[in-house]
Formats: sequence, C-alpha cells, structure tokens
Amino acid sequence: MSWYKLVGIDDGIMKKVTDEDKNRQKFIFSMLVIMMIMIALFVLISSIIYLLIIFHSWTVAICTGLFLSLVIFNLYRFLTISAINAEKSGIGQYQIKHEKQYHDFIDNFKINEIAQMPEEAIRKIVNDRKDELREKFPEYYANKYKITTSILTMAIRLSFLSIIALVFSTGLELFIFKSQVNEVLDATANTLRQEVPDSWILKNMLTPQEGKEFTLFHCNSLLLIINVLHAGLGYWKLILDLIFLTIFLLPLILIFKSKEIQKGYYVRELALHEISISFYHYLKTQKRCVEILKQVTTEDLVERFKKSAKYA
Amino acid sequence: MLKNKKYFTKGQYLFWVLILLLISFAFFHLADKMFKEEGIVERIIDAERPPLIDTTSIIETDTTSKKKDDLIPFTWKWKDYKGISRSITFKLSKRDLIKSTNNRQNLNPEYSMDPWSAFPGVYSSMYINDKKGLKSIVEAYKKEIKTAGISNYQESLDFVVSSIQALGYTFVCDGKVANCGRNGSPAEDCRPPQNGFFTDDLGCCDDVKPLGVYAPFEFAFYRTGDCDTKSLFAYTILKEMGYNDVAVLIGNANGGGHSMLGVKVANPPFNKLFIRHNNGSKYYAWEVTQGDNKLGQNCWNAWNDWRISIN
Repeated sequence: MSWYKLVGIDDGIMKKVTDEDKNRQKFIFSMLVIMMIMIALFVLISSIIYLLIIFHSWTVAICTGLFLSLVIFNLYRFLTISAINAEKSGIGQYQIKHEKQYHDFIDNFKINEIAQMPEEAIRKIVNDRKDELREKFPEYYANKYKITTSILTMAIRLSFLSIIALVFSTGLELFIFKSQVNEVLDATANTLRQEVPDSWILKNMLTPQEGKEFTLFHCNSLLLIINVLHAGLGYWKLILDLIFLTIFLLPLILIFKSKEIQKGYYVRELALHEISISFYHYLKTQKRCVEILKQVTTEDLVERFKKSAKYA
Repeated sequence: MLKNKKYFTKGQYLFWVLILLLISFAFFHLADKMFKEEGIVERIIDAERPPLIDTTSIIETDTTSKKKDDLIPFTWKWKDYKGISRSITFKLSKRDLIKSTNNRQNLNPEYSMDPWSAFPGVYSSMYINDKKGLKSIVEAYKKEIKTAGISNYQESLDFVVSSIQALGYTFVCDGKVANCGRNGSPAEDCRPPQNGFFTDDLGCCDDVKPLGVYAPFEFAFYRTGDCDTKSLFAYTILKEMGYNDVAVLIGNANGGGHSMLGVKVANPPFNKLFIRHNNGSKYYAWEVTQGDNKLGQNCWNAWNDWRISIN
C-alpha cells in the first residue's frame, strides 16, 4: 500500500530519480506515516481509557476516541510534514526566488520568440532548464548547508507534540497497569468498608452508581485512579513518560535531523517542480501579453469601445 | 550515501524497539514488578480516617521560671453534648496575663476599605503571643480526654468545644459605650456570666482595643468574651492540641458581624454551614457562643459574606 500518499507525497514528480532512490524515498515517507498511525492508535487507546472512566459507556468512549485520534493524526501530519522545506539548501536559492531560473528571459525580453513559441517548445525550455538545475546540484546530500529553522516555530511544534504525548501517555500507562490499579482500588474499598463505612470516597468514588457497574476501572474518579497510578509507579512513571515522549516526538525529530528527508530526492524534485511551474506559467503569461499587445496595436480600440458602450 | 541513511534507519528502529518495550510491559508480567502497591491503600485511607488525638505530646513553654504564688488555679465544669459532666483543672500565670494584655493593647492594625481586613493580623499576633501561656489548659484537656477514654476525632473536638460554649457570653465592645450589654446593662459590669449564654444579662466590657476582642489568655483568665474572643480561644486551644485543620471564620449572620470556629473534617455531624477554602476544601462552621450547637449546624436565618480569617 502506498502509505506515503497519506501525507501528500506525489511520486509522479520523481521521474528523473533512480528506482533505488525513489523506492528509498517512498519507504521513508511510508514509515513516517506508519509511525503517525501508531501514534494515532495510542491516542485512540488512551482516549477510550479516559472516556470509559468518565462516561462508563463503550459506545461513547469508542466514538469519541476515534474522533480524537483522527484529529491528532491530522495535527501530526500538519506539524511534521510542514517542517520539511528546501529553502536553506543550494537549490533553495532558486526555491526562495523562482525568477532566478528564468532571469535571462526577464532581462532580455524576447517578444517575437515567445509569441511564436508553440506549447511544446515552452514545455521543452522549462524541462531543459529543470534538468540543468538538477545537474547543477547532482550530489544533493553532499551539500554542506545547515538545516535551520525558526526557533519559535520549532518551539511551538515541540510544545504541541509534547503536550499531546504527556496527556495521552497517562492513559496508556493506565491501560498497561489496569489490573494492578484495580487491585489497589479493591483493597481500598474493602478496607474503607470495614474501617470508615461512611467515608465520602467509598460512597462516591469506589461504589458504582445505582443500577450500573464499573466498566474498566473499579472507580468513578479519574483523579483517584491517576493518583494510584502515580503512587504505584513512582519513578517508573517518569521513565514511561519519557518513553512515550520519545515515541511521540520521533517523527518530528527524524524530519528535522534526517538528511534523507530534509535533503532527500523528493524535496529536491518537489522544489524543482515548483520552480518549473513558475517558469512555465511565466512564459505562458508573457506569450499572452504579446498577443494582447499585438491586438492593442492592430485593432481600433476606440471604435470597439464605442460599440461596447452602445450595447451597454 | 550509506552514512546518510543511518539517521532515519536508527530512528525508525528506536521507534519500534520502544513500542516493543511497552508491549513487553503489558504482556510479560513486567508491570507487576514495576508497580509497588505497598502503602497506597493506607495513604488513601489515612486521608479519610479521622486522626487520633495525641495526648502525649509536650508543648514548648517559656524558659522563664514562674513563681508559685504567680499561678492561680482554675476549674471549669460543664456538661458535654451527651449530658455527661466534665471538668478540667489548670493553673494560669498572672505574668502571662500581663503579657497577653500588653500585647493586645500594643496591636495597631491597619484599616482599609475592607472591614474584615484588620482581623487576621490581630488574631495571628494574639495566637502566637498567648499559645505558650495556655499550655496548662491544653494539657488539662488532653489529660481529661485520655481519662474519659475518648479516641474519636469528632468526640475529642466536641469535648473541647462544648466546654468553651458552656463558659457563657459577655459582650465586648471596641469603643466607650455606657450601656452596651443586653437590655441596656451597663459597661461597668464586666464580669463573667454565671449561668451561660444570654441568661445573665450581666453587661459588657467596653473600650477593648483593638477590634473589641480579648486575647485567648485574657478570656481563659476572666471568662469574658463574645463570638470572636471565644472563636479565637477555641482556635488557639485546638491548634495547640494538634488539630491543624481549624480556622477562625468571620462574616455576617442575621445582618450583623459575627465570628465562628471553622473545622475541616471529612464527615461533620452537620453539613449546613461551611466555607470553601481556595484549595477547594470545606471548613465547616461551628457556633461556639451557644451551648448545644454542633459542627456544621445552621443556627442562623441569614448567613453571608463569610471568609477564613486565620487558619
């Protein structure tokens, strides 16, 4: 399955890339998507755990959990894939200023040549220039440029993803330690029944509502369950949180640090594709301009305007 | 090229290894080893279980020696909520009385737009200054509670507060007022009531500055005091007995300024009157001026604008 298409990767632009490199790029982006799907799956499990404790209903928990996991998956796609850019690369000079690719056409405005150019000729010029630019930076990985990004943007991305990771990690930890937490809750309820039978916690938190049963955890209070989890895990809670944080941040870290992504063939081809589209439309626009110019000089526009005004 | 491939490959492996690690926690009984259940149940129950009163602790006292003729013996007798006769015997020092009065008279509270803002500072200063001098009363309460075999938190509180309620009531005024007592009784007659609340009409004590409140030690010595004097005395005694969750509450009752004792407990006898602390916990109000009001019991038609003065 072409998983990479889920993050908007168009393999059609990598025609000039060798099969080996193309497959590697497809593999990388597919793996990124699978990582994001795994994270969305974690979010789904965690959401179901939280929602079951609050609503005691599998239907509500699964439906809302699915919705939340889809939201998080889309947020992940946005926050990670939008971090890819070629602006600081060698080719990035052209990416920032597309007109560098066709500055000679701007400087020496060849009216007659452009006006007589057929569509195929324009496409040929654009594609030749694209190949020339590609050849100018053949060893794309070898470029000694530094991947830079705005510290503020990076901080926002990291903050968002860290918050998501830490919020949902507790839900996953509850899932892992469900039986241990339930044992403690049962023991607490039994002891309270014997020692403090009129206890508020026993009546309101550790006893199911009338006519209902506990679903996953033997408690109505999310805070008490989290409290038991914290007390039971101790420093392990911190270690587990760090593991979840690493898992949740890895796709973003890989996009920032992996040269195969930031300086990869896909990014290069995408930059070339964008530059070429600009070039192609520049030529098309100029051709149209020449046609209009010709029309202006040959036709009696005053007479034409009068005719138009008469019908108006 | 291979070198460049390393980062993504390693990162990807790390991702899957971490996930496998988490799965192993769930399926290979590692969770049992990581999760320590010891002490959690006790910790939760301790918060619910009323604490036992400590009848053995020793309170820090002044190092200055007290002469024998400086100490005056007192005996308070009363009936608790169950109608059982109780009494405590203790001795108070005249020197401590002078110290307490001097401290009160030297207090100079800052007044502001908020009429209640001056009270916390005055109450705190009186509590800090008088608590050591009241050691004898605190020890007497502890001794009697132990002798009576009371180990329940609420019953111990009832023991102390019922004694303070039984001490009666005397109006205390800030300024000079000729007839400030009930039914116009004169200010000169500033004596402790003999038969309890509002039955003696013995008058009132005027010109008690600042704020018309006697210090806890003065109340213990003279037994003259109204709502805030008695609430502050109860607060001081209970705090020194080890009840940390007590407070002096101030606000309006039936349209007039009033003061009550506040106690934070999980299961009060009544839950009608309470103030919520900023941290969300409830302090139940206790009317200490009257003979038989219990914690949280409502004895007012209008009860508003209440707050915690000190806790």
